[in-house]
Order: sequence, then C-alpha cells, then structure tokens
Amino acid sequence: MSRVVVLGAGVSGHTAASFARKWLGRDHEVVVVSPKPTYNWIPSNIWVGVGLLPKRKVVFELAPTYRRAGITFHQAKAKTLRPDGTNGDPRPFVTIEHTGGAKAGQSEDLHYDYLINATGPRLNFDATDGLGPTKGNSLSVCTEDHAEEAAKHFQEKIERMKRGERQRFVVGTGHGTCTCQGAAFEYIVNLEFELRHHKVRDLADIVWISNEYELGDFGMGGMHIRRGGYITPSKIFTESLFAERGLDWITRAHVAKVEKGRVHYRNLEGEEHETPFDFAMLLPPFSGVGLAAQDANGDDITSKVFAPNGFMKVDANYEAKPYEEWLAADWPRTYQNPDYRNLFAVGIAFAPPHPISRPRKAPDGTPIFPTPPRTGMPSAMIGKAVARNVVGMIRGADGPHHTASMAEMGAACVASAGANPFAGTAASMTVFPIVPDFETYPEYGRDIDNTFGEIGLAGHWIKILLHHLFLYKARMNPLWHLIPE
Amino acid sequence: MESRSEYRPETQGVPSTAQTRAHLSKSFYATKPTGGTTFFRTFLPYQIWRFIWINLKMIRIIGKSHR
Ligand SMILES: Cc1cc2nc3c(=O)[nH]c(=O)nc-3n(C[C@H](O)[C@H](O)[C@H](O)COP(=O)(O)OP(=O)(O)OC[C@H]3O[C@@H](n4cnc5c(N)ncnc54)[C@H](O)[C@@H]3O)c2cc1C
Repeated sequence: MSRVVVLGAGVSGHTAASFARKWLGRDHEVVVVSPKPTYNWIPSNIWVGVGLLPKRKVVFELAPTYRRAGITFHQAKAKTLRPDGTNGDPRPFVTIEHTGGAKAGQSEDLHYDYLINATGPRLNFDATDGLGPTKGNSLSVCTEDHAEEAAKHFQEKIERMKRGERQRFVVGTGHGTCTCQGAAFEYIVNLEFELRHHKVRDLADIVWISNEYELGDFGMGGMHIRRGGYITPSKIFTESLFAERGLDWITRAHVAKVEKGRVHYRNLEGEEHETPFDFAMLLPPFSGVGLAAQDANGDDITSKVFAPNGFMKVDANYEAKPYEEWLAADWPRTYQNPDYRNLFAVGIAFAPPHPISRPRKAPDGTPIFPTPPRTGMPSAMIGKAVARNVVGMIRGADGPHHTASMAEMGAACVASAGANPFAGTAASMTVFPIVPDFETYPEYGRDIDNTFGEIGLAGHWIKILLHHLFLYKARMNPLWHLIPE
Repeated sequence: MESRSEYRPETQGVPSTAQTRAHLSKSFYATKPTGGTTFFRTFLPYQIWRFIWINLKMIRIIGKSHR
C-alpha cells in the first residue's frame, strides 16, 4: 500500500487529490492536509467583494466530500518536511499541526510515499507598511473573508454616495512585486459596474494602481491579439476599457506605504508620490507559505528544497540569467523536486525559474514588475498531470512521464467586467502558450491563432457557467471528472 | 503630491477649457469603442453565437494543452 499526501486543498491540490483517488485502487491511501475546513472557489470572490454573492456561495465543507470520495482529510497546517525521515526510520514524513476538531493545536508526523505540495501563496501583507485588512488600512479579496469585508466597506461607500458625498476608490497591487493583476482588474471593473447599477457613478473617482509597466501586462508580459485588421497588444484593449469606463490609471508603481486614506508609492523613475482614497482594495505580494525542511539528523535543509521566496524547487532551470536569455525550456515540465523523486509541487507552490514580464527596477533598486501568475487552469492542469505521474510511479513507472509546462500549454481565462445576465460583460481570453516561447513564435512569443480576447455578454454567461461547473466538479458530484480543468 | 497632477505637469498655467482638459487626460489617447461595438457586446443574437464560438475556441485550447 502507498500513501499519497497532498498539502493544500485549493485548485491545484484538490484536483491532484481527486484524480489520484480516482485512478488509484482502494488499497492505496490519499490524504489531504489543509488548515481550513472549506474549499473556496477563489475566482468568484470578486463577486463577493462587490456584494453580489454571499460568502456561502463560494465555499463548501471539504470533510463530507472527502469522506464520500474515500480521501482522508486532516484539517491541519503542514510545518516541516522530513524527506529523509530520521536516522532511526528513513520513511519520509511531514509534520503537521492540527487547526480544527478535537486535535486542534496538536502536532503529528504523517508518513508518505509521495508528497504533493499544493500550499498556494502566503498573502504577504507585511511586505508593505499598512497594507491589508487585518493590520493595515486597505482591503483585499484574496480570501472569502477578505471579500466579505470588502463588500461591507463598499456598501458603506455606496450609502455615502447616495447621500451626495464624493468618494475615491483605489484598486490594484499593494507592492512592486505583486502578481494576480487579473484579479484586481476584475475587481475594479466590477466595482465600477456596480456603482453604475446603484446610480452613484457620477460621484466616484476610480483609480487603478499597479506595478505593471503598461496596462494589460497581467504578469504575462501582455499578449497580442488579431482584431480589426491589426495585431494589437493587450495594453490597447485595457486602456480602451478603462477610458470607456472613466477609470484613471497609475502604472509602474511600487506601493511603499498605506496610511489611513492615503497610498504612498514610488515609480520606476524613482519619484515618490501619494494618492488619497476613501476605499482601497490592494492585493498583497505572494510568497511561499513558509514550510521548512530537515534532513535525517534534524538539520535544516530548507534552502535545498525551497527557493528564497519560499516556493518549492522543482525541475526548472533556476540558473540566474538576464531577461534576454530566458527560455521557454527553463519552465518546469514534471514538477518533481530535483533531490527527492517522491516530492512534487503544483500550482502557486512551485518556484518559477524567473518572471514572465520583463524585470525592471527604480533607480534605488526597488523592483517594480509583476511576478508570474499561476491562474486556475494551469494550476489544475499541473495538479492533474502530477497526480497521473504519481499514480504511474506507484504502479511501477521509472519516473514522471506526463508533462504540464506552462511554456507548452495554453490557458483560457474569463475576466468578469460586470455581472448581469443581460447587461453584464466579461473579457474572454485564451493564450497559447502561457509563457511566451520566442524560439517557436519569434514575433510575439505566442501562437496568434490560439491567442484571442474579446469582451461581451457571452463571456459573462461563460463565467457563470464556470462558477457552477467548477463548484460541481470540486464537490466531486457524479461525472465530475468529465469537466475539463 | 496628488496623482492627478503628477502625470500632467503641463497643466501649470494652462487655462482650463474643454479642449485642454481633453488633451491632458490619458483616456483622450486611448482607443475607444464606437456605439456599434458596445451595442454588439450585449446584443443577444450575436452574443449567443459568440457564446458557442468562444466555448469551441476554449475547448480547442484545453485539448491542445493536455498531454
Ligand atoms: C481574487 C482572485 C481572483 C482570481 N480569479 C481567477 C480567475 O478568474 N481565473 C483564474 O484562472 N484564476 C484566478 N485566480 C487565481 C487562482 O485563484 C489561483 O490560480 C489558484 O487558486 C491557485 O491554486 P493553488 O492550489 O496553487 O493555490 P490555492 O488555491 O491558494 O490553494 C492553496 C491551499 O493550500 C492551503 N494551505 C496553505 N498553507 C498550508 C499549509 N501550511 N499546509 C497545508 N495547506 C496549506 C490553503 O488553505 C489552500 O487550501 C484568482 C485569484 C484571486 C486571489
């Protein structure tokens, strides 16, 4: 009997665990460790954050789903990996700390034959003074609780506007190294749409602030689309949407401090500026969740297993080299740790070899550029490929043979731009590949025939469909595995 | 300094008219959709067709990405 332990029950971990369970016979065990009792369909947090959906519509309890599927669930937080076991017992294990139920607060050593790290990001609000909803002065939509709180503040601002008060909204990234610009983009356009719906748009100043060099970069170095007789960069489309919606924008900005009602930022020219707000939703930068690793003696080997940013090292080329020398082939294909063949990292938890967007620094050395996003579709596809490989290795394969490189796969993404069944819109996009490959596609780094984008009501219907389909799939309801990632 | 003034230093001493205000706004230089474009974004028959087309396009990308 083999035991597969999956750390994390987000998009990538839940996908990996579900498929591992489906493909492995019942004589093998699949275990999921996750600190929260619930699954959150994070993309729909945007609608929670503008008050369109209650929190309960984007989460469900994991325990009943896992019980039904035959997956062992520990509501716990992984702390330390021991891939060499101990001197007395070479079986690898992970030390977990229970966060719920009767064992809350207790530590346990969980042995594994294969471990899939899918712990996602730590929301690093501490990187910027005053950032974030807990200790700081800004809001977030990264978790369902953050989104619910943002919605409360948003509602309060709407009430003020209904009383005739002018309000200023600032939305974007809260640090020079943030990723996930797509989520902030969805939030700002949904917020604008809702203000129109509440008939108070004329009293709102709405400003985008981000670390992107140009609007529409989204951490992917932007993209080019064939449209209207031109091959046009995403900057043009994003600026167009912002201009149409009356949104102002500040780019190339590192938010250095968030005071009550005031964002301080530095730009690529090294200038210091500030901008006032009544409501600010600023995403934090991401880092690894802070897992440690020890060898058989108990000596620290964290830097051997994890990159300095806390994400786990996999089969990527981590050699430091300038932007001009980056290659599609630098990106991992199997997500296997180079030192431990039974250790994998999927979704946001794996360490990318380098960013996708061109790195830039302010004169004082402050980095101001997006770090690479790992959105839902690649996260799930990587989780599934790794599950397939682990199952194959349990059945005797000599190593992982299924690949899921972000430089070889495309992504489909639908960014909501306003939720209404007849008047709503969303930007539907596909890119191929996600990481530009300038060797294969010298002009734009991507296949222009498979990279497209358009905005319209159809996109909104697709977004609604995806919300229901992915929650259905995550609940592992009948035929869940037929729904693509 | 407030953000609006920082990227429009040329406002200093310029009389505020509709023309100067337009030219000093970033959105003046952005591509904007025509009435027809925005109409088709929510025009039901066209959007039903786009719904089918976009789904097919996305399925193709998903198929191309699975190995
Ligand atoms: C607001 C928002 C909107 C988004 N919208 C979209 C969208 O429209 N489309 C899209 O494709 N992508 C979207 N994304 C990105 C998408 O959510 C991520 O790509 C995806 O969640 C990444 O999956 P993951 O499994 O790597 O991480 P997560 O989904 O974050 O999951 C990580 C899991 O690990 C658990 N965990 C954390 N620490 C530990 C620990 N120590 N031990 C064990 N478990 C741990 C967490 O509780 C969680 O269950 C959005 C992101 C945000 C923030």
